[in-house]
Amino acid sequence: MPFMFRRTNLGKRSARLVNQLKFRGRRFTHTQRARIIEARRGGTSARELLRSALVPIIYAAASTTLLLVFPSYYQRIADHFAWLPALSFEVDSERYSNLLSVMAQASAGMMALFFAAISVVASTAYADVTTKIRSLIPQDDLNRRYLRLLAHTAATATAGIAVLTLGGPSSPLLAAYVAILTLIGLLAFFPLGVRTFALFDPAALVDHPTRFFVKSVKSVTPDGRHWRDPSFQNHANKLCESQLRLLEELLAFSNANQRPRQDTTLDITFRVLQLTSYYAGIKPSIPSDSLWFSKKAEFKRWDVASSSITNLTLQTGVLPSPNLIPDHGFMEARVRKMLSQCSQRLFEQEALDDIARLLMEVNKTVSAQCTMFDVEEAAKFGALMRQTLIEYLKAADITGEHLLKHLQLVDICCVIALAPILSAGRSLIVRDMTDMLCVERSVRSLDRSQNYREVCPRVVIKIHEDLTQRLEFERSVEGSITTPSWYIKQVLASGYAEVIRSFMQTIAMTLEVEFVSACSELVKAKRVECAGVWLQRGIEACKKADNTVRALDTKYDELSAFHITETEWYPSGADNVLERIESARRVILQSLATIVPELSKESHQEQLPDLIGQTRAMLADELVSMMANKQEEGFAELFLAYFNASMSIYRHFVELTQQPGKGDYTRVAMGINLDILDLSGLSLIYSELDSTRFYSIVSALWDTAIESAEDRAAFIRSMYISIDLKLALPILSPGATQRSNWSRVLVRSLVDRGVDTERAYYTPWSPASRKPHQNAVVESVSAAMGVSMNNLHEYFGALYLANRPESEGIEQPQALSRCLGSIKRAQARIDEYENEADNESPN
Amino acid sequence: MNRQTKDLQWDGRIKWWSALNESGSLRGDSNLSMCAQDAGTTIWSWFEHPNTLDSTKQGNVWLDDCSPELEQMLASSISHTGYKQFIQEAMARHLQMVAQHIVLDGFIKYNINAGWTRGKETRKLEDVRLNFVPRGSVISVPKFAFQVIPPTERDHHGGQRVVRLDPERLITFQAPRRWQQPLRRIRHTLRAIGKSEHLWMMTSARDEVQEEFASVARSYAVQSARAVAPIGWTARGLYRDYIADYHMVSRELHWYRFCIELRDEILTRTADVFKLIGSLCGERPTLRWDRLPTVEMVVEIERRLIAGDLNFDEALKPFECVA
Repeated sequence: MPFMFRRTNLGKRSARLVNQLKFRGRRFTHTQRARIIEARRGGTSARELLRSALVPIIYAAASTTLLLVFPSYYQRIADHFAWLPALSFEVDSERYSNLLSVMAQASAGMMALFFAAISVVASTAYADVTTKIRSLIPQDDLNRRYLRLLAHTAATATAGIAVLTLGGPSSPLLAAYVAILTLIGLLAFFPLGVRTFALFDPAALVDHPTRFFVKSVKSVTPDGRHWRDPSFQNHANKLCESQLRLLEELLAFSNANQRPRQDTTLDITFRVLQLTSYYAGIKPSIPSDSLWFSKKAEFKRWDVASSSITNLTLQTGVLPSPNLIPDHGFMEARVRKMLSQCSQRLFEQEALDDIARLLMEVNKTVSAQCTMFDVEEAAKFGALMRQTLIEYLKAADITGEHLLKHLQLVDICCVIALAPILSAGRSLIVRDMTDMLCVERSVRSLDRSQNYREVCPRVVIKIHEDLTQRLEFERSVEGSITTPSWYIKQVLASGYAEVIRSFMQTIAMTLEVEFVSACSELVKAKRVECAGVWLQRGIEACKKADNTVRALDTKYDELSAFHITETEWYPSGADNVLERIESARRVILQSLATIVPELSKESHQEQLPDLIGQTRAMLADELVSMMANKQEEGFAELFLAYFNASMSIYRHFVELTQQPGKGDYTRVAMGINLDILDLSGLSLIYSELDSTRFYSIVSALWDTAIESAEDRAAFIRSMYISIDLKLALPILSPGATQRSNWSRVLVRSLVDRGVDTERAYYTPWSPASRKPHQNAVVESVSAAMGVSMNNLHEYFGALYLANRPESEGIEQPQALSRCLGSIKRAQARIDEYENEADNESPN
Repeated sequence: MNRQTKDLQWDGRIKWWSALNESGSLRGDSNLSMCAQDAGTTIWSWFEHPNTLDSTKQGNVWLDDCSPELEQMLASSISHTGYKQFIQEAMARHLQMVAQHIVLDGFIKYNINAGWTRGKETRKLEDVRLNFVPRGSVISVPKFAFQVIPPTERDHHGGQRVVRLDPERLITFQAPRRWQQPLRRIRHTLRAIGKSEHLWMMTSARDEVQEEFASVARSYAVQSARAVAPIGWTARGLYRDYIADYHMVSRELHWYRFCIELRDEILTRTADVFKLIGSLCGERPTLRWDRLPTVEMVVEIERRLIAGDLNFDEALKPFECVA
């Protein structure tokens, strides 16, 4: 068998011979290239010089020969075929010689001038940098082509003169060819010369390293010819490392120079980030064990290492060497280092606009990474920007006119932090799992390049690779693959399941780290406006995280259909993650409540976002949700914050009414009062419904507020006026819409708790089987179309405000007496039902 | 009770010598030795259940139409320990040993040696032994059989060179016909691979061509797995790093199928031997077995596995221990 032949001495010798031949062939090619490169870089060997000039000489000789020989051959052909026009150019040899001589001199002169210009750039702007960076100047695409063109023109013209001198023919075509090239050279000299000034900017030199990086990374994907050859992978890694080093040096060079603007630093960083985005897209096409990825050490724990290793260590005292595993984030780590340098520079210069631009570019990169499932690296980018920004915000003076810009920075940073929550989940959710797992044909074909056609998370890629390897083993051993398709799908499904579980954990962790911890740092540092923006984005993040986790959980359930046998199907962990999200949301809201007093002081400027308004609306929704869920813990703090925020806004609008032409703001202030009264009324009804302490908390706060008011009667009166004027307020104002939603929540809660809220629909002849609620307040609430027919604030007005001693002598709104009437009627219904029940009982 | 203490007249003429370096020990390639051990142990494990060791309960294997004395005699005849055993226990050991030898050598020969009472007019069969015949020492022609004693052993056996044997008392255990050729190829291939692998390991340090250890180790694993593919042996997890779970279970089932067929072949042959021994004392005992894994079970499990109706653990459970 072939295997046994390969293992024999003859087989081994043959293999050795073939390997040596291959090696020598490749070494020969490599040394040739290396010599040419060396000559380009200034090698002095004459032989190497000739070698480096060999290709241009061939080009020049070929074009000269062609253009000299073609006319005479053409003439012969034309003599044979009468219909061909004859060439009848007569060129004077002396003039021909002069023309070629002038053009050769002109080309050589332009080449010398252009080199001189480039040398000036290199020796002035780039005097302090490494040679590698200086060599990038002539490597510029246009420069290189232009210099080659000039060299070719001069060489061709010289060859033409040499042929003429040696008694050869003169060629009008050659003269025309050289003349055209010389003209192009002359005309292009000016624009290229002007363009040389652009090379003073290091950002203009970024093209070459980025292009080389792209070329090297492409060579290790299935598009590359030797993509699976470890030597080529290693070579590509070395190329990539050197290009990254060049970019780092360029960035350091641009940072070192004191420039009035940071455009150069930004341009380089943008290019690097764009490169990272591109790399994120191509990275899933690289095999997991490719030598493209640099290696990092992985130290095995002593207790799980093999006994032979530990015994050896104990006997010799030599510590076990770590395993070298691929570092899939080596490129991103280098980019983060550059990004850190750039951002520090920008923060030092307090270039807020540039920082905003940088953050937006980072956001694009992070989104691209998340879309390609590289959430881990994306989160590291987010963390870097968050840490840098928070450190800056802690130390910076953010008051005054720059406050808005700082708030914008915070907002963009929050958007970056949101990317892992949104993009990563969405990439999985939108994909059809059945299609994703139907890769049987590609797996069975054992064509490894097929493993990388679809963009998959790295975990799935690894599973795909492992499965292909195992199926290869099966085919080698058994001669065919008998593994059924359900097993292949199951293995891939388990990979996706692992990814979903990991995503869920990442989402929860992102919330806790990027929002909860970050916000608390800002709150501690008394950066309330920034903290306010961050916290509000945190609430948004919680909602989006909740939606994403639920959608991922649905996907996880879909995957379980592919789990036929083998190991147990692990729970998704969604419940735990949802609890963590809910917990994070509560913490964020509590933090938001704590900063309300500070926010109230300075958040009414039109130039700034309405932080207090948004905070108040969010707190109100949370309070309603807490009451509906009977969640008493933390209610008092949130209600106090809500009350303070409302009062602050109320006062602001009342002050506005004092200004001419702004009297209508009274209605806005009244609306705010109604909001507080509605929420207080809700607390009363919920407390009666569920026997909770919400109303006692709310009434205690009202007691304090009324007692601390300068004019208590006026306070009560303002509330009564709000109740009276409710019909005069806009019905589609934000407050009215929110109050309507609270009403819906109340009705839903009543229905969920078994309360019959559709009393109004019963006809007098309906059977009297309806059992009223035992509590008259609850029983008095009726609903239609899911909305309460009773105004919630009337309950609070009738049962609390009207009972306050300060309200004596103040005329009550009629709505309060109507509300009391409905409660009394409800009590009468309860009594009637009980009497009927007593009469119907056997005793 | 030690059966060697009986003072009996034995009618067997077979000579025995230590064969530790030959068929008596597991020799040659380590993979082949392990494969043989695994075949024996797998078959043995089907009988070694706590419930089946109790004489009061019926085990997986029993004798019908057999007197208790003959049953005891038959159990002793196949005992490899030399001590009195129940038929189930003795049969388990017997199957293990025979299966091992069949995988290692392709066959194993025994000679029936009957022990008769001495000094009485009516000879009575008191004991029987299946004596192991050293490998390659018997030359059989139709109606005749001879044992050739090697020169090194002749001094221990009175200088005899050739011993004539009763061909009817010579028993050969072999694999079922359809497994004989694959087993022969496995023995040949595994030994060749083992030698090559040993050579590679010993010389790799000074070999000029530096080979990647993992890839060569994988190549050897592929070759040995390919060699034993007909019987489905999984080499005690040697292929775990390269094999898919489904393929692993599929091979395990194939392996059990091979062991079942081998077991049934040995049991059938042993039943014939017991009938022959029974005829010496005028009885016709019948060896029966039940509640053991069958080929039908394997086929059914394979069908359910392909359909994805069965957990991998459940698929292998019926073959691990039989209640």
